Amino acid sequence: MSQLDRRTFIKLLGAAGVVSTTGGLIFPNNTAAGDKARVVVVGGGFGGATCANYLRQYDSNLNVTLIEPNIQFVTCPFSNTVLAGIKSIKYITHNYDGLRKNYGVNIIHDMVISIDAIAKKLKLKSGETLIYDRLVVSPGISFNWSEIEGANEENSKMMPHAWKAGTQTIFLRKQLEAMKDGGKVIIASPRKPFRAPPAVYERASLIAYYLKKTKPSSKILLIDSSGDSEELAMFRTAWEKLYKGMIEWIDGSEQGEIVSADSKILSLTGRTIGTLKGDVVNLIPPQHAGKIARIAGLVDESGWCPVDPQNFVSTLQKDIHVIGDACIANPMQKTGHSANTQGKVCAAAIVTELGGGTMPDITYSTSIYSFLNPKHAFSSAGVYRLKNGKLKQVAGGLSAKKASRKTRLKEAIFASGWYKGITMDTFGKT
Amino acid sequence: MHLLIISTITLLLSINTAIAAAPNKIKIMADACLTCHGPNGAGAGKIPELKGLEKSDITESLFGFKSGDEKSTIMGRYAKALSDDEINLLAEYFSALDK
Repeated sequence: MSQLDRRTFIKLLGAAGVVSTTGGLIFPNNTAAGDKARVVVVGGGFGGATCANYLRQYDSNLNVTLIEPNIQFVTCPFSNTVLAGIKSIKYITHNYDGLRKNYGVNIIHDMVISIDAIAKKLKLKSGETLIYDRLVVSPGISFNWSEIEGANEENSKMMPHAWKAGTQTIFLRKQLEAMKDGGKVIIASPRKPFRAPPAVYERASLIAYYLKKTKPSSKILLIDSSGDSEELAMFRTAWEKLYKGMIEWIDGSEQGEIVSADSKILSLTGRTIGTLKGDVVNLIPPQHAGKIARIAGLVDESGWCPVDPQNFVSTLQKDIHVIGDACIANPMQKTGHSANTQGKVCAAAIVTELGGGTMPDITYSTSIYSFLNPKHAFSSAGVYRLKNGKLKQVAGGLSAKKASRKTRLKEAIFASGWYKGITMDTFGKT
Repeated sequence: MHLLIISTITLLLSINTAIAAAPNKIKIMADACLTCHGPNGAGAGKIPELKGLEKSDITESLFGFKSGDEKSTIMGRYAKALSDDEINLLAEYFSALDK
């Protein structure tokens, strides 16, 4: 870039609230920025994208920048429908054009490699540094491979987790397609807490749906670290009716989780369940907060990020909010809907606090829909309020245990509506 | 009496809005509905629209969901969390949006 071009470039960036210093791009200091508060959001999933969107909706004077390495986001919700061949990967892939065009969010496709909470600045992989007034970190999950001997990122191609949607979803789909009739699929869930626990049961259901149509002699072995529950009982009743004899449930709770894996012979070993071999192995590893949260000192000994649920401010680092799967917001489950809710609450809290106010008493909502087949779905809902600084469930619960086929169909139709609604709401589509 | 309470709350909320540009309680709670009901409450797929409906239609549904008199798949599980005042204010909010 020539000097003249560079100056023009800097001027243009300055107008947008970004200037250059030592060759990298940074936000201007307070003087240059005027009164515009600078909020940087790290991570463009359901939490971060929603937060960036609503920060701008609530205060169009805010300078909001979203940092996300990927140009497109592939959602975990509905990714089980891709595994079953019901929906395409394109259907669950979204971009950031809506946030940029409709809400004026600055989008930087880069990765944050360090955060200095005292100086209120962060460094990007490209070498640039950004300064912020408030930082929102929404990094999702990362996998704790060290808990399973023989498992790692590299051999997850052979034993896909498909618990982050995208190429992993395609790997698992291709393996299911290539499997012969009569084959055995193993699904192994990790110990809690992990992302979207009911999605394990939806996955077993939808893989069974696919196998029943195309390879009806095949079997699914579900090693379930969550153990028995009311929700599982609902699924098992439905499996008995829809996929009789196809899904074998194995209690992997009480130290039964997988401790070692062999990707060459596709076998898994658990402390109490011995060694099991499959033709397709879906090993979902234990999880903790996304890497940047751990680098930035936002996690406690549990591997997740403690926050004040009123505004999602980290209890470990000043002026940093953590939302989505990475934060500890019990009893809200780690789901896309929870992250979306937390993104909105966090945005409202930031705007309220910057204006000198305090957050009102509000409800926090979440839901997760699970398909048993394309015409049969359940849901789990939760509504929470703050009581003495902690989230308490005040309403919600599971779908009716006994319901007509018509009701289950209605929930399946609403599940599709929910997906359309949440993706439009999150990614700023109009 | 009911009207008086609603007017007082509305007044308090508008004062809050005047002090700071921050979203008020009902705005934040209404935005929670948009996750399923879509941007601006315009509906999403077969999930119905909320914007521009008659206030009485919204309150009738929400009070019905809350009491269980109105059958639903999921709304009954949500509406039980809402106070009567919140139902009235949410209905007022959505009915005031342009259809």
